[in-house]
Amino acid sequence: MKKNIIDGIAFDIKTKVPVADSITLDFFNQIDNTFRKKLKKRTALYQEIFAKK
Amino acid sequence: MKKITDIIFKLAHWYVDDQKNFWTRNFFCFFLFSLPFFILHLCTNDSFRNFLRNNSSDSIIANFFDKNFWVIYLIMAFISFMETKIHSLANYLDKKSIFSDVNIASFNLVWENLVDYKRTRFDTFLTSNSYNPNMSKEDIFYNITRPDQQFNTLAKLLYEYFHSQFNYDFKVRIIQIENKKNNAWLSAYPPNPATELNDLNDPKSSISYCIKRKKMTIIEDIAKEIKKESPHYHVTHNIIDEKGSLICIPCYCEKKKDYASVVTIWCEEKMFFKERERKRIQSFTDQIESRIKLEQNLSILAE
Repeated sequence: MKKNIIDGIAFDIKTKVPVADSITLDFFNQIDNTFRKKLKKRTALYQEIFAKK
Repeated sequence: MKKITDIIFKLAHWYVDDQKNFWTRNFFCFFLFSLPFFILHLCTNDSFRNFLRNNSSDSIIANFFDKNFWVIYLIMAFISFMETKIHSLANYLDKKSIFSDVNIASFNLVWENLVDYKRTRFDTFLTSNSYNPNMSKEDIFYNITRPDQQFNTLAKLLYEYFHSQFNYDFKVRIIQIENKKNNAWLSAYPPNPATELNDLNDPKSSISYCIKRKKMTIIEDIAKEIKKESPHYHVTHNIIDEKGSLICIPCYCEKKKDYASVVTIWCEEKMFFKERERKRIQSFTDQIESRIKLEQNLSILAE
């Protein structure tokens, strides 16, 4: 992906959409691994709580 | 048949949702519940029948009451029965809704992750070489807030939530609005949107429509929408590829006294976002709108 830095914000040249920086990209990778698992657990927990009500 | 079921669903939702409304609670419910008993009382009341005979020249109404007592009784019993059924139908629909209570509650994971992202940014900044105590306040503020990256993270988290929870393909777009026109992309996930921003400025586009209406727009079925005489959707690709459902959430900016951005969430499945579930969808979108407003203000401050 080609990048162009304008005022500290990186944009994709073709689409002009701001590009994720290194901290954000690291976070994205982490989300990819954990979000789905966390969401499954959280959904199961709320199902249990709502079923008791 | 679909129209009839739609009307029943709408009626059921309206009835249950409006239970909190003062007039529904105090007047309509009382009227609805008491009506069958009141009419049955009249049917069985001799003085009422005598009154009808004395005041009606051909006594048609009085005779009708006399001869059709059981028909009226059954109709009234049916109304009472249906009333309870409408209530349970609405409760059933709420449980079957895509945006169930469980899904609404589990949506807080998005905000948890967003705060965690912010913490990571603070941690990284404080521990990296880029931070030194003599830095200007402006630089520190810019480095720790980075609203452009917050928009990216929000778009990604919204995508992850919807995609993981509902197992369909989604597209999340955040667009900056200036003078009621789409001015720039703030973020998009998945990245690289195929649509040109200028296309979205078309008065027919859903975004233009949502800014004009000043409220969330729901396009239940895009394929159906574009066939309408005056659609609220601008076709940018091959007409056959235009499918799914879409919501557009306008975000107001107090400083600019106008709508400063719009968030769009597209789902490949038609009827995923339904007009009759507006209130439930709103419980998601209100949170998104609030977060976007915060980032908008940070963007203005950063400038």
